[in-house]
Amino acid sequence: MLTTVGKGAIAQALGDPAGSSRVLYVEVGTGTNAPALGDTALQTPTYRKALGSYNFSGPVISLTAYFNPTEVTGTLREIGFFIGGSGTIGTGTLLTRIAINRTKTSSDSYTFEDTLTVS
Amino acid sequence: MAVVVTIAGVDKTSFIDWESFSVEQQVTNQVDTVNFLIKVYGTKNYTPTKGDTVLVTDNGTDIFGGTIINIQRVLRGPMLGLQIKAVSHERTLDRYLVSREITGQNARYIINTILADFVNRVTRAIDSGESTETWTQEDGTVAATTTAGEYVYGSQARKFTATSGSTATGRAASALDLSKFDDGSSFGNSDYVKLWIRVDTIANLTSIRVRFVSDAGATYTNYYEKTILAASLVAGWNEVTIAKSAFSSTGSPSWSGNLKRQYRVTASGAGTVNVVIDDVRLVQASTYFSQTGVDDADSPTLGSVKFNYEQVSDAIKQIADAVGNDWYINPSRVLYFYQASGVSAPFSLTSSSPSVTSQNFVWNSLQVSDDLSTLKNQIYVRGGEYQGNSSTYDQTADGNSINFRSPYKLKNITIAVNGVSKTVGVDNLDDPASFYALYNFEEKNLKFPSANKPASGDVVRMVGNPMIPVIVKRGDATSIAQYGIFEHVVIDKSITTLQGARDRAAAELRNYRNSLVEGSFKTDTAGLRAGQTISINVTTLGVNDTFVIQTVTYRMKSPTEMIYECKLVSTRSFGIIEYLLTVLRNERKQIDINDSESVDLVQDITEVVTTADSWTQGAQDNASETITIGEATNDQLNHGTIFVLTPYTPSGFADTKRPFILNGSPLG
Repeated sequence: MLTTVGKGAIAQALGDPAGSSRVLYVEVGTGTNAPALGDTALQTPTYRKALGSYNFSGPVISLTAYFNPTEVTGTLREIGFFIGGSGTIGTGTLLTRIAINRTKTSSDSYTFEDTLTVS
Repeated sequence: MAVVVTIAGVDKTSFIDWESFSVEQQVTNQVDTVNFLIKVYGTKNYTPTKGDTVLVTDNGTDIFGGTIINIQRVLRGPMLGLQIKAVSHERTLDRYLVSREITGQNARYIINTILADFVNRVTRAIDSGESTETWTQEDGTVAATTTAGEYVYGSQARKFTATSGSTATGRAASALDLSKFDDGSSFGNSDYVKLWIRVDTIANLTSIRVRFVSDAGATYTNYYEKTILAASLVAGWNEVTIAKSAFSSTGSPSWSGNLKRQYRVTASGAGTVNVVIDDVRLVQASTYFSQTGVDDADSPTLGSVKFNYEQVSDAIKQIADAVGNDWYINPSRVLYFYQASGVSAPFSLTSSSPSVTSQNFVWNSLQVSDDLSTLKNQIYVRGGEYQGNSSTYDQTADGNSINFRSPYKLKNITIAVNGVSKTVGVDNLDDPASFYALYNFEEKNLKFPSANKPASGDVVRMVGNPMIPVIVKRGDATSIAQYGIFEHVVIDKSITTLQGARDRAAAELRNYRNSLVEGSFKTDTAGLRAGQTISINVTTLGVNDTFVIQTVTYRMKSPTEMIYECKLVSTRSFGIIEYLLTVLRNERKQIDINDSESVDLVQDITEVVTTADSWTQGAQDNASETITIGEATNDQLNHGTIFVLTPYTPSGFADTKRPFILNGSPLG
C-alpha cells in the first residue's frame, strides 16, 4: 500500500532542492502537435527560463512559471516543465508537456501553474 | 411546393403546416426569422431538435438559413403541434465578442480582421506576407507591400508583378501541418484553402497558380496544385476559396508535411499585372463565414475604430454606419456589405394613371408616407481624445500659488522654472520628496510643494503632448437650404482621430439628410429580398422614386404559392429594436480604455496523467501497485504574480503570491 506520506514524498521530490528529480526549468514553444506520452522535448521550443515558484501540500505540488512582459511574445502553443537540465533549451527530462493557445504581447505578463496530485 | 424546407440537411417540407409558415427577412443586423408548425400524429411523428440547421428555398433560391432556437409544444385539436422558430446566421455571429482597436484602415480590412480573428475560429493560418515570413522571389518581381488598401490582414502582403506574357513566382517556406486545423480537427476534403487576391488590371492576368509543396528549397517534386483562371476573378480584391478536393497532386505530397507554398502569377500579352496575395489560411466549410458579398468597402480609410467587447454583428453595423452601407448575412453564411443603392430588385412597380392595372404588386396594398421626424442635416461628433504634437505652456507665478493648471491633459510632461529643468513625478503615485513637483494628469494640475513654491514673476513652463478632445461639426448645405437646420450629436469616445469623426459625421448625413419616405406593398412575384433597391413609378399615388426594401415577409397563400409583404424606406429608419441596440452600444462607447490596459485572458486546463508502475508478486514476493498522478493547470495573462519569501502556501490560483526561488523567480 502506497502511504499518504509516501505519496507526499513522491510529490515533494519534484521540488526538493537537494534531490536530482527537482523541476528546474520551464519552456514555451509554438509547436501544435498534441502532447503524447512519447514526447521528450517540446515540438518547437522558443524560450526557456527557470521555474518561478513551487509549493507543497501533502501529495500535491504546484509548479508556477512566470514570464514577464518583455521575456517572450507571440502565440504560445505548448509549455513544458523539465527535471534537471541547464539554461539551454531542450536540456533535462521533460516531466510534462501541455498544449496551450495564448497570444502574449509585450504588455502582457503570463503566469502558468501546474498542480500535480499523487494518488 | 415551390418552397422547400430542409432541416438538419433533410427535406422536411411535407411535415410543415403551410398556413403557419412565414419568413421575415431584415436588412442590417436584426436577425431573419422563420416560423412554422409541425403537426405530430400517427406515423407523422417527426420532431426536430433545438440547434438543427434550417434552410428555406423559394423556387430554388435560398431565402433563409439559420438554426432552430425555440420549439413550443402546443395542442392542435387531438394532435400535438410543434411551433418552431429559427433565426438566421447573424445570431451565430453574435456568439463572439470583438475587442480590438484598428486605426487607418478601410472597411474591408476591418471586416476581414473581425471575421479572421474572432469568427472563423476553426482555421489554420498559412501565409500572410508579413515580414516574419521567409519569402523567396523565383522570377518576375515579388515584394512586400505596405501600401494602405493593398493588404487585408496584418501590416503587409506580398505583391507579384508580372510583365506582359511573363510570370512572377515566389515561395514562402515554413514547415506546416496542414492536415488539421488549430483546434485539432481534420482538414477535410470539402474544407477550403482560402486566400485573398487583389488584381489591378484583370485584362492583363491569365492565371494564378498555387502549390503546396512537400519538398524543401527550390525542389518541386511532390506537391498539390490548383490554378485559378482570371475569368473567375474581378479587378480589385477577391476572396478565393478552393476545396481541398479541387487540388491535383504530383508525386507523393503530404498535407501534414508541407514545407513551402509557391504562388505564380501569369500575365497575359496585354500588359503588366500586379497581384497581391494576402491572408492564406485553411477554413472549415461547415462553419466558415465568407466575404464574397463585401462590396464598396475599399474606401474611405477610417480614422479609427475601437470595439470594446462588442458583438460581431454590432461591430459590423458600426463599420456600415461609418461608411453609410447596409449589410446582411445570406443563408449560405456569406456576408453582404454594400452601398444601400447598390443592389437592385429584379423588377419595378409601375402603373400609369388612370389605369388601376398594377405591375408586380397587389394594387391596394401599396402605400407611401413622407415625414421629417428622422431628418438630421447638421452633425456634431464628440469623440474621445487624440494626442497632439508636443507643445509648450508658460505661466508666470504670483508668488502665492503652488498649483498651475495646464490647458489640456499633458502626456510626456517635462517642466522648467525660469528655464531650469526640474524633475516632475506623478501625483498620488510618486513620493513628493523625490521630485521637484508632481503632475496630476486627470486634473491637468502641476503641484509644487511649499519648499519649491515658485516666486513672484517666475516662469513655470510645462512641455508635453496635449490630449485634445475630438470635436467635429459637419452640415449638408443642400438639406439645410431645403428644410432648415436639424442638428444631431453623436457621442462616441471610441473615435480618437479627427478623420474618424469626420467619417462618422459624413455617414450620418448620408443616411439622414433627406426626409423619410416609408411605404409598403404586397406582391406575388418572387425575387425580392431585404436590402435591394426597388423603383416605384405609380402615377395615381404621385410616386416616382427609388426605395430600399427594409423587410420582406414571406407567407404562404396556398400550399404551393407565396405572397411577399415588403416594407420600404427612402432612407434610414430606426425601428424600436435598432433604437434600443443603439442606446446600449452608446453606453459601451463611453467606456474609456487606458492605453496601458491589457486584456486579461483566463484559461483553465485539466489534464490527468496516469503513471502505471507494476511488478509481479509471485514466488519472489513481488507486489503490484499503481500510482496515479492527477494534473490540473491554470494559466492567465497579467496575473499579477507576487513572489514572497518562503514558507508561504497560496490559497489557490487566484491568490497571486508565490514562494520565491533563488535563481528562479524574477527579481525585477
